[in-house]
This record gives sequence, C-alpha cells and structure tokens, in this order.
Amino acid sequence: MSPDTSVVDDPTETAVEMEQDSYLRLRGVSKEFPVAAGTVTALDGIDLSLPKGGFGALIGPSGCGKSTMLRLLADLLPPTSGTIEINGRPPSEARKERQIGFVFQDPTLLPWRSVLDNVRLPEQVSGRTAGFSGLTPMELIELVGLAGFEDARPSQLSGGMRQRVAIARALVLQPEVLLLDEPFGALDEITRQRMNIELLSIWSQTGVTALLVTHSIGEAALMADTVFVLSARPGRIAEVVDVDLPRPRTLEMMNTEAFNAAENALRRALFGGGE
Amino acid sequence: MTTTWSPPAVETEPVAGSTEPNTSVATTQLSKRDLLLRWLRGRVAPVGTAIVALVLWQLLVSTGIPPSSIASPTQAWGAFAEDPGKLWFHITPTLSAALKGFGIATSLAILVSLVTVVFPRLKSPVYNASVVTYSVPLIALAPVLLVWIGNGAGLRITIAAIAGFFPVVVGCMQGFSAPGPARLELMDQLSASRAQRFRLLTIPESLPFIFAGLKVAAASSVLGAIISEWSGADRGLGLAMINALSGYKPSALWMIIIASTALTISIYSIVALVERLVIRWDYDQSDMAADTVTSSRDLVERGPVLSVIRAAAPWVVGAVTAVVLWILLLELTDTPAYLAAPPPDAFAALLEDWSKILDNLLYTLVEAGAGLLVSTTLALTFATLFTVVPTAERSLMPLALTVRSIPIVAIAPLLVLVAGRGLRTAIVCVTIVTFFPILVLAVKGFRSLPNEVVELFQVHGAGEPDLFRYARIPYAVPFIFTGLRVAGSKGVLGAMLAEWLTGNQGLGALLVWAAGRREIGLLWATLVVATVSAIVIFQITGATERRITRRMMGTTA
Repeated sequence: MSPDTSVVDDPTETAVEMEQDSYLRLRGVSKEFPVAAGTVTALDGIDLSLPKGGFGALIGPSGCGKSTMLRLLADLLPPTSGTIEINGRPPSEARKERQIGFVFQDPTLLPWRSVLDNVRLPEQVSGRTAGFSGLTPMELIELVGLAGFEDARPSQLSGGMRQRVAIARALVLQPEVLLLDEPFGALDEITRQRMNIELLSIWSQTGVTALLVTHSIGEAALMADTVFVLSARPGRIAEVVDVDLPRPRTLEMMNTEAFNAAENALRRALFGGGE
Repeated sequence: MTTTWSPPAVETEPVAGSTEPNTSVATTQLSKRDLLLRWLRGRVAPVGTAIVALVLWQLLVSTGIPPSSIASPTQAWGAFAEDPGKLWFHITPTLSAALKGFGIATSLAILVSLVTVVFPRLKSPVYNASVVTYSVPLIALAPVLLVWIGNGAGLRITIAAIAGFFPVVVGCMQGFSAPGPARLELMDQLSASRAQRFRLLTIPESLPFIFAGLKVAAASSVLGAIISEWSGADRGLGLAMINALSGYKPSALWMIIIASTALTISIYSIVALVERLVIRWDYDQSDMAADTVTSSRDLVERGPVLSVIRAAAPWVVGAVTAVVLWILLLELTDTPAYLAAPPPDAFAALLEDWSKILDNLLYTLVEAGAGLLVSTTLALTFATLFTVVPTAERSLMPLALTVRSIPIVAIAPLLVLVAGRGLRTAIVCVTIVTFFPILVLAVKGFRSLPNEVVELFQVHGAGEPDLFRYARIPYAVPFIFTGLRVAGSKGVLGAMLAEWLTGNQGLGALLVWAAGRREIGLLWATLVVATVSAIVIFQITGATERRITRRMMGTTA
C-alpha cells in the first residue's frame, strides 16, 4: 500500500521528481471527528502530491473522506495531524491570500443575486480584483458559456448552468488551486460529459492546479493526470493511478485502449485491491 | 417543514425555479411593473370570491329568513352613506394608533433580534419574553396599563405595539438563523468577515421571514388598537363597535366590522406589496406562511430529553425578574397602592379568590376546547373537500389564506349581536377564530405528499379513499398538529374576548367585573393567571407538535 505505487506500466516520474515540483502536498494527514462514542477516523495517514498546473482526481466509495480531504486543503477544516502545504505554505495562508477556488457539490448560488453578481461575490468579499492577467467576471461568464445570461437569476438557470456559474465564481480571483467537490454529481450523464470537456478547456486556459473529487470512474480517467484511489473508512490512499492519455482530452478518447486501461486499473483498485 | 406545496394564491407568480428553464431563450429580468401586475393578478380570485359572497349575502337577507341582527350589504352601506364623515372620524385614531404601535413594535423587535445575533446566549430568554407578550390577553391590558399611561392615545399605541411585537421578533430570529450550512461554508471559503457574512448573506436570506412577520404584525397592531378601544375611548373603531352593539344598531355594527376588516386587509396588503417589490427573487413561500411565524420550532431547541427543571428554569427566572421590576417600578413612580396592585396584593387576591379564578379559568378552557373541537371537525371536513375537489380549493383557498393571516377576532361584537350573550357565542367565536389556521394547514398537509406517492397508489389501482387512509392522513398529521398549536392560543384569546363582551362567565368576564369594581388585586391576579395559562397551552401544544413531528418524520424534522 505504498502511496506512490503506480499501476500504469511506465511511470514517467520518479518519486524524487514528484517531491520537487509538488505544488499541493499532504504528508501523514489524518482527520478524526468527534462522535457520541469517542472519535471516528475519516482520513488516516494520507500522503499526496500534485505538481503545479496538474489535474488530480480523488476517487473512492462514499464516506471515504474525499470531501473531507478537499476541505482540509481549503482550510475549511483543520487536520488532526500531519502537514498540508500549498506551494510550500499552509492552507490558511493560501485561503487568506485568495489562492484557492472551491466548487461545491451544490452550486450554492445566492438566489437574490444575478449571475454576474454571484460571480463577483468573491471580489466583493475580498475587496480586490484579479488584476491585469486575470479574466474579468464578464469574460469568465463567457468562458463558461453563459454569455447573455449575466443578468439572469439562478432560479432561471438549469442545474448545469448553475454549476457553470459556480465554476466562474471559483475562478474570479484567479486562484492557483481549484478544488472541485463532485461538481457534476447531480447532472445527467450527457451534460456531465460536456461539462467535463469544458472544465478541461478552462483548466488549460487558466493554468490552475486542479483537484477533483468524484465517484465516477470514467470522469476520473477522462479528466486527471493522476488519480488517487481512496479505501473505505478510514480513508487511506489505496492506489495512485496515472492516466496515460494525451492532452487536450476529448470524448473520443473514451474509446481508446489507454482510456480502458486506466478505467480497468481504477476499477481493480476500487473493487479488487482492497480485500 | 420541507414541502414543495405552494398556496394557490401564488400560482400566477414567478415559478421559473420549479420548472426546467428554456435555455435557448435568454431570460430577462422582470420589471417592477410586471411584478406588480403578477401580484395583482394573484389577487383577482379572492376579490372575485368576495364579490360573489356579497351578492349571495344580499340575496339571503332579502328573503327575510335571517334574523334582524343580520344586516344586508346595502343596509351596511346605508349606515355608511348616512354619515361618511363619522366613519372617518373613528378610523383615524385607530389607524394612527395601529401604525405607531406597528412602528414601535417593528423597531424594538428588530433591535432585540439584532442583539441575539451578537449574543446568541440571549436567544432563549428573548424568545421566552416575547412569548409572554404574545400570551398576555390584550383585552386585559387596557385596564391595567391605564393606571400608568392614562386613558389616551399612548395606551392604545402601547397595546398595538405589544400585539405586533411577537410576530416580528420570531420572523427576525428565524430569518437571522436561516442561512444553511452550504452557504455558510461558501462564506468561510471566501474568508468573509462576520460583518460581510451578515450583510451579504444573512440580511437577504432573512427578508422573507421578516416580511412574513411584518405582515402578521401589521394586522395584529390594528387588532390591538381596536381591542384597546373596547375598554373605553372617546373615538375609534373599537368604541364605535361597542356603541353599535350596546345600542342595537345592526347596520352600523356590520358597517364598522366591514370597515375594520378592510382596514386590516389594506395594511396587510401594503406590507405584502412592499415585500413583492423588495424580494424579487424566488423563494419557497410555503415555508414563510403566517403559521410558521408563531412556530417555536428551530428557534429554541431543547434537546431530545426534555428536563422539566431545565425547561422551567428560564420561566422562573423571568417571573422573579418581572416581580422585582414590578415592585421597583411602583416604588419609583410612586404609584398609589390602590391603583396598581403590587405583587403582594395580587397574590393576596389570588389566595382569597382562587376558587372564583379557577372556576372562571375552567369555564374559559371548556369554551375554548369546545370551539376548537367544532372548528377542527369543520376544518378537516373542508380540507378533505378541497383536496378531492380542486375547483373548490382554487376559489376558496385564497380567501382562507388571507383570513388566516388576519386576526379576525375583532368581529366578536358581531357574534354577540347575532348569537346573543350565552355560552354559544364564545364557542362560535373560538370556532371562527381557530377554523382558518387548521383548515389551511390541513389542506397543506393533505397535499404535502410527493407526486411519486400519488403515482404509486395509482399504479396499484388504489382510489382516493385508500390514498387518504394510507398516505394523505399520515402525511398531514404533523401539519394538523401545527394548526392546532397555532389555534390553541388564538382559541383562548377568542373565548376571553367573547366573555368580555357578553360579561357572562369566564376569565374575560371576571376581568370586566374586577375592572368595574376597581378590584385591582383581582384584576392583576386574573391577568397573571390568564397569561400563565396561555403560556402553558402554548408550551404544551408546541411540545406535542414537536414530539409528533419528530416521531413521524424521524429526528430531522
């Protein structure tokens, strides 16, 4: 159960190289929650590392602590033990510096604000804008394919459109890290795959380091360079699977050998390896 | 209450959130004019029903069958046309007292609720103190407060303010705790400060709750002003009612009752209109219904094990504080003892006249219980009818919703005129006052089951009787208990008002008797007993409701 085990035949990076340019890093991270009878361990001894500009995915059975791990990285929860670093600094600093964008499972839009005002919310709270290099809120709305809807209220949008607004909101302060907590879990398969490709295009245009929590094997294989497979409670990293597909990814790639190999490796890690 | 039921009155309002939007059409913002038009359209059905009712009423009276105490609409109009200035003469002081009272109640309630935001530990004491203001029988306040404030506009403004205070406090407190965990987490993630969180999240999210409270409070303040005038005023709608009743002028009384109701509905509608213009996003209106405004749920959660001592402690502390303040106030203001009975006198009266007070209390409770039984039976019958015959619901439900939100207890003089001065009057009064909240909530309950459940029964070939027996009734039980709780307090107040007017028997009658003989000690003792009984009923029905809801819906409800 070594965390750096790669089941893909030819790992291109050695452990040393990964350490050097790792941008997101968890070392020996555990998280316990108090319950009526003592504590329950949600995450246990997590080691994880992701390079700058990379796309990682966390996959595992429900209740394995995937969302908890994302919240530790976002400084929404403190770890019980271990260290977490974002570009060498603790998550609390990264959050205060507005370097983290977070897309929740539910779009969590404020219903009394228009699309544009929802996207602007982080600017308003932080009192700053993305600056020269960043995209304006309007450009972001365009980027997520909602041009013309900037004055609409969330209740006038479909589920997929609402999640696009949430993505634009997460990007408005030009974060270094984008954390996505099952953002497309509530969408139908067709919409979800279209959103996957759109998100990849946004990711490559912004150069953000992305970590996606998902419970879809296909989604993880399609999106990520590296997939971290978590075991059931307590959550431990059971396998690290590298996906050997070229970028930019397309939906057609889902018919290729490499995609099938990645999917099979993930399936084995989820259903076979744990016993 | 997590339900997707929405009252028919809002069917014509924006429902974009509940349907899959047409993504090919760029949605446009609704203009203020459109919103206004939609709002007005929603009012067409109730107004239509009211017109039909007026015509039927006129026809019925013209047959000559009803007794002379029932005036026709034209007779009521005649009483108005005879001297229109007279009605205006009586409306202005009532309206002025109601508006000032409403303003004071709103400012105080918002201020107090803001304090609970800063100091969350104060939530429970503030809520309990507000329950006391809700439980004090308004009718008993005038003779008692008169001693300090004097019989003037100040007295009526004070009573109107007390009447309007509770709904706004509850609306604010519910609203301020409305933001859910997801939105709070978003604010965490954005590193929002406490002030930003309040401004950007809490205030907008609380507005629907606050407006629900304001609507009820506006109507309650009118009621408070009118009732304060019953016990002696030189002008006002309340005085005009009492004069018309004692002089046996049915046409005049009907006219004044209609005018009072119209006044109440107008004020309520103005607040509702402001709400429409301020809140331009969609929200689940069914959650904001007036009945939730008197709900104690979610505000003060006492935990699964209800310890008697823990539950009683805040009340004991409150009572001791009240007594100390009472004594201090009397000492400081130098009020003569014969005017404002200090606690020892009230206590002495309680000891001396306990059997009289108890007899009258039981009488009031029996009347309230009997009325509640009748209204529950009627309300459940109508609710079943409304559920089975949607047409009946569409035409009558909007009216029921409006009447439910408006304190109609001010029509009590009319009941005395029509039904006489016996026991029957109080029961009729309680029935009318409690019918609407139970009806509205029962209909809501019968319709609260998900569509899939209805389809499940259809798939299995079950008819409406089976659907009622196995699904609609179980789904409705928590709603009906909410209705009973709301109705419980209203019922006791209704019974006391009827007793006050008939002077027959019961706590209300005892108050008149004590006030007339200047037995201040007895007056105070009766006031305290009535208030405590109302609080106890409020607590018991509230606890029963929570228990039933929890048992039926699991721990989350």
